[in-house]
Order: sequence, then structure tokens, then C-alpha cells
Amino acid sequence: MTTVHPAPTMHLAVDDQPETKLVEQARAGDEAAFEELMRRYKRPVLNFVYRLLSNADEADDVAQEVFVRVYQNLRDYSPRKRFSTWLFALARNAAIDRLRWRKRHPTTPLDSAPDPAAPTGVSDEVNAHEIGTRVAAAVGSLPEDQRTALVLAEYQGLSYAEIAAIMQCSEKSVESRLYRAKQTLRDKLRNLLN
Amino acid sequence: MREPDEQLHALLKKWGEIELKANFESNVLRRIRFAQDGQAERVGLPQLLRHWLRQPAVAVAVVMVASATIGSSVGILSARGTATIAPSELQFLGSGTLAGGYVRASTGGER
Repeated sequence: MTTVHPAPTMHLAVDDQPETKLVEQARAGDEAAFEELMRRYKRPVLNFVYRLLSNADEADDVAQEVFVRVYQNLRDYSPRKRFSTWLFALARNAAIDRLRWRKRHPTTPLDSAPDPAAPTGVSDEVNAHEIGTRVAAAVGSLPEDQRTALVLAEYQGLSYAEIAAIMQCSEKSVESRLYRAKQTLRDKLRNLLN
Repeated sequence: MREPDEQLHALLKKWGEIELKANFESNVLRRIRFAQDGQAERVGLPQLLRHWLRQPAVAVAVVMVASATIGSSVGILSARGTATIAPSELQFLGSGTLAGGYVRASTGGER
């Protein structure tokens, strides 16, 4: 069972210089350097994937797979890009792979997600966990590109430029996806937004 | 510019993070080893040859076969060379003898 905690503001606060060195060492086959990179990024990657998949167990599995792919493809990484950009692009692809796999292997969920637009009753009775579940359902209902942009902006605290680099699109496109995502969320979560 | 929407932002933050499992890193490293072992099993011909040549008995056998092949090839080539110069060197053999008849037959009756 995975514990859910309130989300702190998360930034990719990594010192670029040592990171560049770490990446170089990891590319040269230094396993300790790879493990240090994994220590730095495992939490952001896990939670990024979790918010794309809305399933903690699958997120754990996919996040592990992301680091296996990082290890196997470090030679393809170009130092001209930020490491975090490359890493989040890999994580996004792994999450998309899992979403496609889900489509090919549909299963009945054990507990269905609540309708985010459903009336919440007396607001005082709605506890934080339930609100979180409704937010998760609303975010989970967004198309993948809007969801990715929203998660990177709102939960990972990335700039439009960084999101555009990860999603391989223009900053304008990121802005447009975020606008549409927020419009949808405002509509679906209107009961929780007073 | 990012549209300020503090209310929505605050609401989104109510969806909490999940905690990492204690064995996350060890699981990743195990999967990497597993993938490497899988790759080792899918070796190509060069890797297979390199592996087998590291076995002493196979290496000795390969050297012996190679030596025998090279030796017999050189032998055949040098035998051909000898045969081409044989007629001129064996012309002293009398035409009435068996050896002389063979030389005459093999050179097309030049003498």
C-alpha cells in the first residue's frame, strides 16, 4: 500500500555543474555516479509518472523502468540538453507506453475513480483525501498532452521553455495546452472551487 | 505569461505525492542486471566465437585444424609448381622406360 502525503512544492533544484560531471561519469560506466543521479531524480520521476498514470503501483514499476532506460541509453544523451529534460522526456515516453498497454489490456479497476464533478455534499465533510482523489480523477480525465503539460507546470514547477523541450513542441503550444487543461479542470472541479 | 489562478493551483496541490518504496533503487539495479544477463544470452556470432576460443580444448582444436588446412594447402600449391617443372627436369628418362612414358604422356608427347 502506498502512502499519500500532501504535495510540497517541488523544484528540480540540482546544481548543474556537479550534475554535468555526474552524467559524464555515468556515461563512462561509473555505477556510483548513476546511482547518485537516480537518488536525485527518483522522487520527481516517480511522482511525475504517478500523476500521468493515476496509479501508485504502476507508477513505481514505470519509474523503475525509466531508470533502467536511462542506464541503457546514457550514451545517446547529448550534453547540449539539460539532463532533467532528457530524463523527463524518457519518463513521459515510458508513461505513454504504459497507457497504450492499458488500452490493449483493459481491466476493471478495483475501486472506480469518483466523478470529479459530482456534488460533494457539505463541504466540511469532504476531507482532504477525498479532495485529492477528485483532483486526481479530474487531472486523469485530461488528454495526455494537456495532462503532461499541467503536471510539469503545476507539480514539477517547470518553465514553459523546459516543458516545451520535454514535450518537443513550441512554448505557444505549451501555453495553449495549459489554458485548455485549466479550463477543463475549473469546470470539473467547480464544486471544490466554491 | 502564466495565468495566475491561485485557487486552482491550491486545489491541485491537494493531490498529494506518493512515497518511494524502500527497495526502489535496489529494484532498479536488479532490473538492470537482469536486462544485462538477457543481453548476454542474445549474443551474436562474434561473441560466441570469442567465448568458445577462450576454452583451451577448443582453442587447441582450432589451431590444429587451421595448421592442417594451411599445411595441406601449401603442400598442394607447391606440388602443382613441382609438376610444371617436372617435364624439363625428367627429359633424361628414356622413352622406352615406364617413367619416360609417363613424362611423355603428362607433357603431351613433347619429346
